[in-house]
Amino acid sequence: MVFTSLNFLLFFPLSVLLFYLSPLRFRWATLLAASFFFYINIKPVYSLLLISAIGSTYLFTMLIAATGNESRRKFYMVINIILVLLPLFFFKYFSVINGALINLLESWNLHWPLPEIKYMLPIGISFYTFMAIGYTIDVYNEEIDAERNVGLVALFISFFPLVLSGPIERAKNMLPQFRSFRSLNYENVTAGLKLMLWGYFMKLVVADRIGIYVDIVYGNIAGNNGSSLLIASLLYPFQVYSDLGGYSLIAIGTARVMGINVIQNFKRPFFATSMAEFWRRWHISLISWLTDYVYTPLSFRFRRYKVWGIVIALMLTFLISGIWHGAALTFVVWGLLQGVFLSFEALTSNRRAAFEKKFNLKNNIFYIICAMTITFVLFSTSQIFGRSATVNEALLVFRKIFTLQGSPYLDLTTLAYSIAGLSILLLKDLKNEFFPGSPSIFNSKKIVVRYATYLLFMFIILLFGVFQGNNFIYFQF
Amino acid sequence: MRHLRFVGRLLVFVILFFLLDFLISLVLLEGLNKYFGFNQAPGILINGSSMTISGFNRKEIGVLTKMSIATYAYEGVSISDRYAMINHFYHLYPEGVRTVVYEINPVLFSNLKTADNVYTHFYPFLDDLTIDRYVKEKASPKEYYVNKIIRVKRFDSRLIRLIILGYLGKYENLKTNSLDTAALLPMVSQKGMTPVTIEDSNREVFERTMDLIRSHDAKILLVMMPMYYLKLQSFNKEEYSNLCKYLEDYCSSHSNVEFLNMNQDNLIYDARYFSDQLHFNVFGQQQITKIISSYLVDN
Repeated sequence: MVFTSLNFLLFFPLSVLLFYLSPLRFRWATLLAASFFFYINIKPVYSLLLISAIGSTYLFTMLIAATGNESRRKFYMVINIILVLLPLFFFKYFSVINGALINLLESWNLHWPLPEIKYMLPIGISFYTFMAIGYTIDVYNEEIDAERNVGLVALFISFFPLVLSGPIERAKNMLPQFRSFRSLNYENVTAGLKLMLWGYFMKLVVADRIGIYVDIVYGNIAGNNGSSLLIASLLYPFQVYSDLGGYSLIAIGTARVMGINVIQNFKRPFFATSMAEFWRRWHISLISWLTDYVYTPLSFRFRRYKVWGIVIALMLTFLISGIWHGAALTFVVWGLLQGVFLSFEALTSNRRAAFEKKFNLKNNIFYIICAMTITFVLFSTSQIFGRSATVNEALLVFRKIFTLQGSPYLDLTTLAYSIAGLSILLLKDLKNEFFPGSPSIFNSKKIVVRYATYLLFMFIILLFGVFQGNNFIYFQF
Repeated sequence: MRHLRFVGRLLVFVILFFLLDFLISLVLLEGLNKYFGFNQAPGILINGSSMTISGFNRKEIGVLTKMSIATYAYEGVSISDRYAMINHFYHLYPEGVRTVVYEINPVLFSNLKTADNVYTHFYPFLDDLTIDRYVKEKASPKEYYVNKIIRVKRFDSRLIRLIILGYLGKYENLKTNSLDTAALLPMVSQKGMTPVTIEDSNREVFERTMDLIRSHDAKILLVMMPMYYLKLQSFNKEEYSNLCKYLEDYCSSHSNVEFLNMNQDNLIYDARYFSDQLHFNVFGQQQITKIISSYLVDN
């Protein structure tokens, strides 16, 4: 069951109703049942992996909490991390490693009958794995107490709004909310529904419409000219933003309707003036997870190399992030590029700060626009590797963009709808970025304006949304 | 008290939604009716697929023949879809029309797979019983009932484009590009390789369609739509001749049915008139419109 399916539109109000009708102390059970129903609905067999991640995490966090011996505690933490990571590694990397091994053996004339196993990646496995690992490390670091109620641990890992594509939440934020649910609050319900509405707009009207053009052009890189590839490459970052950003808002809104607050996942990323700032605004839950559990320990380990230690930690963190996105060289290059951009900024940050101070550029609108544009171009450049199937294809895209020009492929209807939807989205972001205090039609005090806005967006979604064959991009990760 | 107020507001919102849904769908349907020419009793109905859309300028034919024209054509429609369209048309206009121009193409009688979701074009007319029955057969129950309940959902981006054109009164072909003949050279080697079959089931649907039109006392003009000569040559010559012979025989054995094979015209050799191998650009449309209009006036 995905958020854009009719099944979800039936499941969601029913779950909310059951949730609020349940006595307060049993609401977690209602939510857990709903979460499992939601996940089982996708492919029942995959829920076994989810259950095993829950079981293992619960057992080992309890063991960590019960032991005073530091090395034992560490041992339990490492064992659980390995156990929950194993299925992720198997489904994500086995076939690639297997293929590479066969090729290597073949090149030495060795015929090893390795079975070729290719399974579909269980949806959401990366996200609940990260949440389980984060919880285990937090218990080990004594940032939170191990939860004794296995039901609550199960709910944290399988919570239906987040299980498929995040945001990747932390136990210290979620478990206290699961322990004491709030009673029905209409402000939460309406705020949640508004977030969901905006999320559906981003996903169905913007992301999936842009996706039509990008898919056509990137589906035939050899047959399309540089101009078409340039347009598609510039549109793709917006597609990903609207896709995952839209998904995240629907997830956050769904949780909010039930009075549960979930971490913000995107904060107007295209208004960032540097790559470092960009990554504080883009996929925030993943980046903060990587910062806490990968980057910080690494930079601590390499601290004796001073600024170069930071560079090493950055490169490794984004390399891991790239490999997490997919077992392909394209994602490795993507991750390394992010590392290079951020390292360059880290190495030059003092000089840049002095330069900005000297010419008073911090408040110069042209400088800000230039910085935003450069940041966007850098990210779009790296995304060419994220979108292409192979590194050779990505290089062909670059070659065509810089050499072969020509009139672009113009699917006018798709482009017109895409640009109209994107303009609405960016205008809202612009307003929130530079005029956060100004009134919003979504939150107008006048009920007529509010209702008219809700209805307007509902009809825009119904009329201009793409309802066929649309999956979320991050389901593949 | 707060619960009641919330439920009350929710109820008002739902009522408003369905009221607006109804009103917006009426406006959209009106635009679509204008596009097809269903907003006034037509004298001539032109029925076909994308070839018809690219080839005939409804407004221009209307001026030249001094009759109001309806062009009921969608991209990718099969012979069964065409039967549903004609049936739907006669539900809208039981008094009928004087002439029905029925597009023929070499693959109309074959079981060549058209787009899977062609039936979604017909959602706007879901209130019509014939279309309702037709869509119900093709769509999943979930899809069918969503479109039945939420009327605005019946219109998608493709249809909205037609609605805008309908309101603007624009019926001319918007394509100005000409066929890239150099890119078509490999087609020479495919000469005669595409089969032109007449499936029994499709022949039965065709004859049923003809009977339906004839039962409404309309004259029928079967038009073999022209295509670029290299594309035409890619069809099996003998089978193509058989199809033409079948249509000629059908016309000679039935009164008030005529067959016009436009592939015999010289324009099929002129790449300037085509935007691709099957479809005309605006210049081709002007030619075809003139030919069909003078034929309709003369006959």
